[in-house]
Amino acid sequence: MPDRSSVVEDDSILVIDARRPPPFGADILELWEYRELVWFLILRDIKSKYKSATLGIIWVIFQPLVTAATLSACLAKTGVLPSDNIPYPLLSFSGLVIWQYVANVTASAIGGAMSISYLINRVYFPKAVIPVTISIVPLLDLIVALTLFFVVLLFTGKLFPDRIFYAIPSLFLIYLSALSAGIWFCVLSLRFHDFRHLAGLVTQVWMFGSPVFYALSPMPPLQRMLIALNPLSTGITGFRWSIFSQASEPQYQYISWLAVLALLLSGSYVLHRLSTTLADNT
Amino acid sequence: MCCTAFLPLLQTTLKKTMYAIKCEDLGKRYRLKTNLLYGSLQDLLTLKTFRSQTDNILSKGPSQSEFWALRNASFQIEQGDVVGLLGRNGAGKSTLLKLISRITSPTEGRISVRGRVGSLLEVGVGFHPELSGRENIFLSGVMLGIKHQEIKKRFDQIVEFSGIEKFLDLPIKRYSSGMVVRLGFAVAANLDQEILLLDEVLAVGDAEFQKKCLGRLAEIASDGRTIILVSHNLHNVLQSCSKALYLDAGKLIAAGETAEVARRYTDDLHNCGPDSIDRLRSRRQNWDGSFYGELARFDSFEVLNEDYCVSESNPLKLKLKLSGNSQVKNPYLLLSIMSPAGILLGSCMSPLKDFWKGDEAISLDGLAAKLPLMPGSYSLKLGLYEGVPTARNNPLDLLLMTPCFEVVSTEQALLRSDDAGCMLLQMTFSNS
Repeated sequence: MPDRSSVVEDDSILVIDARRPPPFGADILELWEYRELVWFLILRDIKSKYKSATLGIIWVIFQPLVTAATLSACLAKTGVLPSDNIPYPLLSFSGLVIWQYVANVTASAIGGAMSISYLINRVYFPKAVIPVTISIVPLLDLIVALTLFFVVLLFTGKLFPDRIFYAIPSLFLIYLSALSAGIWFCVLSLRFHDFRHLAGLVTQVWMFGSPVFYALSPMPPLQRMLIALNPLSTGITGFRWSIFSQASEPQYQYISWLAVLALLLSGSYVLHRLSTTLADNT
Repeated sequence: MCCTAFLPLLQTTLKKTMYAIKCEDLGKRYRLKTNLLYGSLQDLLTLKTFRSQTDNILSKGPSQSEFWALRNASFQIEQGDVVGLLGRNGAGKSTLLKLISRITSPTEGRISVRGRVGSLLEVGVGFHPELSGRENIFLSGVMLGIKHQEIKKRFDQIVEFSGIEKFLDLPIKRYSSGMVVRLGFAVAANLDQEILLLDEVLAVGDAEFQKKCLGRLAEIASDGRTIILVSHNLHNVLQSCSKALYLDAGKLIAAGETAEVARRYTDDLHNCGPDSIDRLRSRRQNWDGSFYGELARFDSFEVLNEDYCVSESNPLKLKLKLSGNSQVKNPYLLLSIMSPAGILLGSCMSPLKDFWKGDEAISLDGLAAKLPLMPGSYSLKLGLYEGVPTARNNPLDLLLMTPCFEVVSTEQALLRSDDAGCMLLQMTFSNS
């Protein structure tokens, strides 16, 4: 017979008040409380993904490789797209690997929102768990692809080691861009059930608006300022600048950081507001 | 010295009066019409939802598009109580559980909860078909809020409870549905939170497994944890709960000792005069679109037995009032008895043509001479038909009373319908 008094360890009282909904900042704390759930959802997604596809790792590299090869074969000699004197296959591959990660996040934001919406009515969890999980799972693919990419660069002697540590803030900016896009895609597909029709278009426009298979250097200042509003453009340019000696430096970086912060905060806020009514409407 | 000696005593008395859950003026409003905030982009762009909402406000007022699933509910649940939640379908039971477990947030009022809440509103939450049973135990457990370390510690216990040791490493998409349910409950039975909310979960699995679950429930309760249990089976509630709450149409009608609340609940259930009989209609509309009670209807329904108890000396007596219009030519009455688990046990059809013309109101008495039923509580379904009641013939009116009457027996008192089946077999053994 267990001791009765040991059942309640702490006397913390949770108060749910209709007039005082939980504050916005509490989401972060709650996310930390639910870190085990985030971890297990990540494990679940990775396991189920690689269980059904033993060739998983090969696919990760295959897709950007084939696309980069096709683009190089068609465009490299024409000189249509600016490439900063970086060999075109390397320029497009580096862009495509990163883009593949971002596209994976947005795609699973829509799919994840749908698959998780059935859980919303059955068990309580902080809704921020969804975008955080889906932004982390495809990171595995990105890490695998980048590792292989670096191996190839080292082999061919194309890697420029002096600025290599600047890759870290660039990759972080890329992660934040994907996360904030994940949050927004999640929110929109939970709110509008026909958002997925529009999502394809949005993703495509975003891809062409990012320097995935071109370089930004020949753009006039005003245009560069505008494209810096897309944080992914600074992320990709900065990443290339950190590994290729001839790459041009990203400009107006602060605009990108402010933009990503604005996207992240606004998305989180909308998700926070939405989460109290989500269970009643799905 | 003297003070420290008293301290444990003081603590226990304090613990006893401490609440686990306190609700003050709790209310939850749902909108029936689609919210402007939710829907499709298409609707938003064409302002369709907006227009339908304004139309609604202009024509009928807001009361048409919203309803209160729960309102003005104030109660307190002490630590260590096992509370049964009673009420018909749509009374607000699930809403209350969802509010306490934070799945949905209240429209008004407040809830204070002391301790962590574990809720099991469905078995097998978070299961992933591609993953093995082992992986799913962890995934589902963490999703229900059990700490990873705790699941590790109780892993063997969970596996043993589910009885699927042999299939632990098989992906659960290859499991039978029964195995999935067992695994789901085994995880949930090991929820380690101080407060547990359980909804209808005992209604799954075979009889043996159900018994196991009830046993586990008693174990959890003896740990001094707080449990709120929703069950349609009044017998289960009476057996396992010390306290009960009774909700009806979103209002808290009674709260307190189980026996008293259960009595209030059954009394209300059987009070079916002209004003309250509508509650027995589970649906208002027939499949073909006609409304129940349009051509002919039950006006009142009564079980005349004292305490709604039926025994050999006290057969089931019913009183019905019917009314209708002259379109009813060949009326039939179909009465069906259902087991506590909702299984149809038997029916009796009776033509009313000879003494009811349809356009007048009549009163009927029913008497069941002998019911070969085991002790237990049974439900009743009453249908009014034009022509012979077949599956293709839609009823003019349909009532469902769950539970309706309790069979008591002196000679078979040791057996109950839960363990011994519903039919009382007329069979004797003698020394050959």
